[in-house]
Order: sequence, then C-alpha cells, then structure tokens
Amino acid sequence: MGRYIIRRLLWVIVLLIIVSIVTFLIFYLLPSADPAALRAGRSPNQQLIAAIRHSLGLDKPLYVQYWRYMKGVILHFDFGYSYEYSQPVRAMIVQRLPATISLTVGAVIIWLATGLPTGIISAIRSRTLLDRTTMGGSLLAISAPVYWLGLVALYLFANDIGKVHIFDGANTYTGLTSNPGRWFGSLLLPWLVLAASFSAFYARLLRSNLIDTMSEDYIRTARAKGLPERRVIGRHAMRSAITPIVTVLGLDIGTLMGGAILVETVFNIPGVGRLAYDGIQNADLPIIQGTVLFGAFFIVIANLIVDIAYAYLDPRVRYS
Amino acid sequence: MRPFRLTLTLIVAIVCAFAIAACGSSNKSSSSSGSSSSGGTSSSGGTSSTGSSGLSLAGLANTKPASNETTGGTLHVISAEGWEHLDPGASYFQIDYLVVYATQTPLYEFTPTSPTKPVPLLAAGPPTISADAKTVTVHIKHGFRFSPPVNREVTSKDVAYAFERMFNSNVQNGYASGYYPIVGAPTSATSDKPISGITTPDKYTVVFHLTKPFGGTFYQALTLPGTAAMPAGYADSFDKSSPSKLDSDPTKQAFTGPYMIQSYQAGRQLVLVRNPNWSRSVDGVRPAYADKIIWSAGNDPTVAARQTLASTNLLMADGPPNNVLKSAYFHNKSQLSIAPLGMYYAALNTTVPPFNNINLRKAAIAAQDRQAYLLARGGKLVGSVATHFIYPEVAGFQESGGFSGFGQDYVSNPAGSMTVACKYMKLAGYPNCKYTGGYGQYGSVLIVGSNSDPGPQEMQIVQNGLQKLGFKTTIKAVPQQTMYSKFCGYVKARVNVCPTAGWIEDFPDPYGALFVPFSGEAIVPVNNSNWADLNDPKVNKAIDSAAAITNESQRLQAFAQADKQIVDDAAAIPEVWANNPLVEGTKVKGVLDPSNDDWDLTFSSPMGTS
Repeated sequence: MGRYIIRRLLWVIVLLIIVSIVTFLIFYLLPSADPAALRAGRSPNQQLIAAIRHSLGLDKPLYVQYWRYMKGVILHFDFGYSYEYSQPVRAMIVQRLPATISLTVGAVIIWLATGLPTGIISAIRSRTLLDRTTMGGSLLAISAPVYWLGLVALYLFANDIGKVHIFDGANTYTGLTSNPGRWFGSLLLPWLVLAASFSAFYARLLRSNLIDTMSEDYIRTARAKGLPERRVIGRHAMRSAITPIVTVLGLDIGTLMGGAILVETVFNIPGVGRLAYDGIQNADLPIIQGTVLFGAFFIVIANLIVDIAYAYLDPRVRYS
Repeated sequence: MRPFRLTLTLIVAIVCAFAIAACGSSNKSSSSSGSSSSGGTSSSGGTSSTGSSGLSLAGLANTKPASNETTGGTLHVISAEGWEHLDPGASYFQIDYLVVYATQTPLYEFTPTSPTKPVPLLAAGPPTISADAKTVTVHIKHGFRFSPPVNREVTSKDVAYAFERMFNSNVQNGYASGYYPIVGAPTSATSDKPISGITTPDKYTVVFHLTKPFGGTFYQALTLPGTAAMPAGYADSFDKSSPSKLDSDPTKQAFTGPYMIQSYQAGRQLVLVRNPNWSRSVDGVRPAYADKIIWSAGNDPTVAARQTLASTNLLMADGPPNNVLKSAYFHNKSQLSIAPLGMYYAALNTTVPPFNNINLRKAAIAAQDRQAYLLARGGKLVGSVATHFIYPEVAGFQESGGFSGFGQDYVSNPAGSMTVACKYMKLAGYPNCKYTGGYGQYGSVLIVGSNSDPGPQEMQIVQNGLQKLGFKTTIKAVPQQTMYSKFCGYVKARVNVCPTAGWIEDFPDPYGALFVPFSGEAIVPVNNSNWADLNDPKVNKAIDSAAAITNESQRLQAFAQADKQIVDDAAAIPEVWANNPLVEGTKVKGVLDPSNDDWDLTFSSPMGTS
C-alpha cells in the first residue's frame, strides 16, 4: 500500500505539470487579450506597453515564461502576481480557500445525509409511491440548474429579498473564525442549493446500484442463512453498491474545491471559483493558472483518497 | 399507473410554482422601450420633468447634493464588478475612481455641484495659463496633510513626485503620456527620475512647462486621480517594486482625502475609515458625511440590484440588469437615478475596402435602424439614439447641436432611410443601390463584436443594414477584452466594422471625447482606440487647434466643429448615447458625480437628509 501511495503521489506531480503546460498553451494559442495591453489602458504609447510586457516577463520566450512560473511555484510556492489586481495569486487563493472549503464540506454533509438514505429507501421500497415520489423529486432537483435554483431560493427565502424571510441571503458570508453562528447562517442556504442536485443524483445512483446488488446470489445466500434484512442491506449490499458512489464523491469534492463558481457567484461567497471566473473574464493568466492548478490538485488528491478507500470498502480490491 | 400520474401532476405543480415565483416579481411591468425618435434622458435631480426621449423622469431619486444631509453612520456600497487599481497613479476605471476620489486629493475635480468646470481641490484656485498655453502654474492649498504614517503637510514637491511616478513603469499609468505633454517627461515610461518640465519655485507652487500649446486641456486633465500628491520620501520605496506596492496593497498609501483604506480584499471587500489628518475646512469642497464606508464587490448583478432596492442603506455602484431596471422604474422609482455615460458607436474602418469610400460609409449609416441599437441595449432608460460624438454629459454638447446634431441627412432619421442610403450608393458608383465591389483581406465585410449581451444583437443589426445594400458580411463574436486587444484595437487586423465598442471620456471635456477615438495622432498599433482608423488631417487639426484654445466658449465651439467634421467623415455609425442607471436604498442619500457617471462617496450620506 505504501509503495502504491508513493507511486500515485509522483503521478500527481506529473499530472499537475501536464495541466499547467496545457493551461499555459491554451492561454497563448487562443485569441485571448494581451495582458500588457490591457494593463496599459486605452490608447497607450508603445513604450509603456513594452515596459509593462517586460515587467510582467511577457517579452521572454514562452518556454522561459513557463520555466520561471514553474520555478516560482515549486521552489517558493509563488504563483505570481495577478495582472488585473496586482495582488499575489497565492495570497488571493489562500484568502478564498476557507470559504470554498466551508461551502464544499457543508454541502457534502447535507447531500450525503439526504441522498444516501433516500437512495436506500427507494431501493428497498422500489416501485412504491414513496419510491416514485422521491425519484421524481430527485429528477426535478437534477434538472434545475444550480444558478436558477440559487436565485429562486433567494427570492423565496432570503432575509432581505425573499418572500418568506428564513435564511441569510447573498452577500452575508462571514468567516468561521470571526463568528461561527453567522458563518453557519450565511452558508445554510448555499449548502442546500448546492446539495440539492448532488443529493438527487446520489440517491438515484445508489438506488440503481442497490437494486442490482440486491439481486446478486450472495445476497440471496445471506438471506437464506437467516440474517436480518437490516444486516443484509447494511453489511453486504451497501458495501458493494456504495463503491461507485465513493468514486463520484471523490471527483465531486475535488471539483468543488476547485470552486463552485455559480453558487459562489449567486450568494457572493468569496471563494476560489469566483476568483477563477474573474481570472478568465480578465485574461488574467496567473489567476487562471493558479486556480486551475489548485483545482487539479484537489481532484487528483481526492481520487487518490478514493482509491485508498476502495481497499477498505471492497474486500476484492487490494493494492500490493 | 395512477400513482405515477399523481406524482407527475405533483411535480408539474411544483415546477409551475417555482417558475411563477422566480419570474413574478420582475416581470410585472411591461418594457418601456419604445421606438420613437431620438432623444435623451438626462441626469435626474428630483425634478418633475420629462426627458427629451419622452420618458417621464418625474419621481426619480434626487441625486443632487442637499444642504440638510446628515453626518455620520456607515455607507454600504455593493457592486458586481471589483476594483482594478486603487493606486491613484494607476487607477483608470470608473469604480476605482469612486474610491480614489474619496481617499486622495487631485489638484482639481469635477464635483456634483460643478459637473463641467473643474473645482480646485488640492489646488488653491484655477491655474495660471500662459498666453502661449505652454506654461501652467498651480498654487496648492496650505494645510493639506498626509494621513498616518506620514503625518505632514502636502507640498509642491509631492505633486511633482505624483507626476514623476505616473511615468514609472512600475506604476503603469494609462493616460499620462496622452494628457501630460510635459517637457522632459520620459518617453520610455521606465523612469521615475525628476521631470525637467516640472518646477517647484516654492513649497506651494508647481509650474508645468508643456511641449505644445495645450494649457486649456492640460487644466481639464489635472482632474485625473494621478495628480493626487504622493510623498516622495515615503512612496518611492514602494514604487521600486513591480507592480508598485501602493497598488498591490493600497492600505499602505499616504492618503490626503477624507477617507483612508483600512482593509482591502481584491475583488471582494473594501473598508474606508475617516482620515484623521483631513480637515473639512481646508478641503472646502467635499463634505464627507459617512463615518465609514464598507463596499462589497463580486456580487451577482441581479441579486445585488434587488438587495439594494429592498434595503434602506445600500448604494449599488454599477447599473442594475435590464429586468430589474424596468421593474425599478415602475415600482421603486424614487430609488432609481439615471446618469449619462459615454456612447456606443459602430466604427467603420476608413482604411480598407469597402469603407475606405466615404459615400459607402454614409450609405451604410443611412441604412441602419439606429433605434434597434437602443432597444438591444435596453430601451430609453439606458440611453438615447446618438447623432454625433460629443455626448450629453460633455461640455460642448449643445454647441454640437444637442440631441438633433448637425443635420446630415444620413444620420437625421434614427430608423434609417433607404432613400438616403441609395443616394450615397449612387454617388459611390453603384446605381442599383447594391454593392458589387471588392472586399479587403476577409472577402466580405468583417464585423467583430463582443459575445456578451447585447453584442450579438448589435452585430445582427449592423449586418441587417449592410445586407440591404448588398454587402456580404461575416460576423465574429469574441470576448470583450479580446475584441479590443486582438481585433478592433489591433490596427493590423483591419476589422471593417466594430459595432459593440463604447467610449467614456476620461474627463467631461470634448478633448476626452474626441481625441483618442478619432484623431489620427492617437492611432497606436496595439490597444488602439481609434477603431475607425480615421486619420483625416482636417479632424486632427481641428482637435489640436481646439485643445490649444484657453477661452472656454471659443474652445467648445472649436470642438463642435471637430465633432461636425467627424460626422461629415462618416467614420462611425452613432448608435447610443448611453445612460448609467443606478439604484439606492430607501433611506440613503446618494449623490451622483456626473463626471464619473456614478456615485460620489464623499457627497452621499448613509443617514439621508434631516
């Protein structure tokens, strides 16, 4: 297991380098804006553009720019300065990471707490009214774009612009350390909105897996041995049915850590996703590169954790 | 099957309920966008008037300063956009100016009470301009002090350093080379050395020696934020790093305005508190009612606009989306104000076929339904159909014929006229009124515009007009920044039509409205803003001559002539004189800064009026 983890970690580094190269090339190959020209303002003299290009290192060959960037990242964990904001990208990401982590962790807890029981109940009460209602509801939740759902939730339930004043609305995010109560209140609605479609998807996925698993021979054997149904489902069926869920969960967590752009935008949560969006809008390569690398890092790490978790969840999987 | 049908019915009912809830509040009002003739809404002032567009302005918020505004409280500002550069030397963006004009003190400023004539701010009075308009002398006020940690009086040397650092590439100023033709100013933009053309004969006097007769316009440009004094012995250490640390960490600045930046999170939040060294009596202009200003940026525009309308104490710094705007006009009119904001036009490239032929350009303009541009942008609340290029908030608008313009037949009908278009097609040598000639490098008329709303509609509108005259067209929609950087602002690209470009003047002076977008002297290979590539010696000379005049009324008349020449050249399709609609909470007293087309934080009061 130890060698497997080390091997995977080395692959993480290779993968991140590939991701950084691809991001770099995409930025320069596509007709995006010239950062020096953007920075220089309207109708600047060419000396100013040249000077800015020089100060940003954009006058160097592409490979030199890339090398300098990667050297900064690897040796100093330095992601450079934002072209747009003149701020160190590392500080901007670190400043926004707690909000993204808060949003992701809370939403994950909610969607697991609602999606898994719903999936189990639907599977064991398959083809009943309860099953059809929950699956119909889940289809609705999956179909509702999160941006639309966020706006509707705000217009219905936000303290300021809602019809029924229940939750703190947009623009109220408070850090966990500065006021835990307000932190919880400000994130409750975003958590519910973000978790809605994930919860529905997980419920449907688990239901489908569980129904398949329940028809396996070993389940019939377990029942024939006289094991209680709760134990058959909990100890035998679930361990097998939940494996694909864990895979998807790993990817989803990794992706959300890279930024839940739409939810962060609607609720004005100062997270990494919104930063990435702003970076793309402003042709701000250091921000794009930094947020992409962060997102990729979380995705591959989450995948690694998932793979390790497999060994514990599924007795058939062993890394030796 | 019955349970399934029941569930389905339930689902449909829930979907309908959600849909109705989502749409109900904003769509009660019908569109106010009509299709009448040109005319413009003007900045409100609580007057019970009707705009020249026919749109009723009665009941809009009173956004003029009031003598009974209350001091104290916290002013909350909200916006979708974040700030770019809060260093006064680098700042070059509308919402950055809101902050910089509250935290720093330029030599002069256009204020809510004097929107077209500069008011001395750090300066003690109007400048003395020599007869040849090449020497400008400014005396500064006694008693202006820098905030902690500098804690000393502002002197003329600090003003000189402010100019020097604008030419320092670490500060990266975007306008100094255009507006400050000072003798000895570095052209390489890499130096922060003293500029020989700036002298400081005493502690309170600065003299600028210019390379050309430009005094009248130089005076207007002294309102830009880069003229705010910076203490050399303090700021130069920050200016050595690239970018200057005064921009990357603006809390480090030495402030001379009523407020200091207490905390700053780029693109997210900004907190301003009172500057203990600022004195209202020394300043004499800015009342600075609020004790504290908290600004949250990065909001969804629809949510932010609705929050503002539902609030008592919010000011929204950028315009609400059209759906909220229309709703506000009908349901929250007293919280809505409309400020003029630059103009949009479709530049026709004058250097490549087919629009290197002036008659084809006139025909193209005549064939356009310019009302459609206004409708695409949101209707009369967001502007009026334009007829020329000095727009309503800029001095010289009336001299240019006001809303009617100069009367050229190809711009006189906002709905377009195929008869007039045909007349110019015939003059261009196409008797059937259909273009059969050649094209440039693209094999058709290349139309490049922004891919964000309303860019695609505007490209479609210009295409429709051109196709009526037989032009083959190709549309290319790209991100806004790319449009400027790689196509319309990149001279070698030779784009035929750029219909989604807009211009806001740097200061409300006709030079700021005309020089960069239409003078051949302003053409630069990259980031060019003369999108029509217009290099007409008559226009160049008219603008330069007008800029050299120091007599105000003669100057405006001269700029009107330059404006007329540009319309005569048919360099662009005048689309829309734009407005910047703004919304505010029910109790807050928002005051508009007409020169920046946005709120003035130092004149606005969170507590309203007494």
